[in-house]
Amino acid sequence: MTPWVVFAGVLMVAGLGPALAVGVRGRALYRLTGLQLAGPVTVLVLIAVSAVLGQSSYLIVPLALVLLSFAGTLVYTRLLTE
Amino acid sequence: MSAHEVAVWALLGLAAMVVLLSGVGLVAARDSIPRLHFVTPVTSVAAPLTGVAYAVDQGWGISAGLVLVIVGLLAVTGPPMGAAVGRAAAKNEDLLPGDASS
Repeated sequence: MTPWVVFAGVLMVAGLGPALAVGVRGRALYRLTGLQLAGPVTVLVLIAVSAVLGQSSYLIVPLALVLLSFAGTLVYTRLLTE
Repeated sequence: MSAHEVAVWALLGLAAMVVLLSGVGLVAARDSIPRLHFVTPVTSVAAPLTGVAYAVDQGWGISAGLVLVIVGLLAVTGPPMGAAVGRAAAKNEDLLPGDASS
């Protein structure tokens, strides 16, 4: 078992789990912090998947996700304060 | 196990530990503003550690460069994102100085 498989598994349980738990409860701004954590953790999981499969072309997906996650969170903060 | 593999395990282990502690802290914190403190380590610490682990594991090349760009973007965009969410939360709770009169 490669370190990347273990890393991806730990992140999916210990990172995405709490992000999901926070993202489905409470007021909208509370939930936004869950989404905020889910973005970077998913990016790291996708990098690990690329390393496990040995396909560097898959790195375009986390690259796009970083930018979309940033823009998406800013849009949500704008919408939730209006 | 070579020193190379030990370094990769150590870097990924540290990154996973940071994410684990951040996740626990995020769930334990009760308010949105304290919660923001637990998101920052993931973008500022865990992401660069993962990028270095990738470069050590796969070798310094174009793909490692792309991963370092990705984790660099994460580290750069994390603080503004946290500031935006913190400002929105403060505005919703009337904690901003300018909001009292408006």
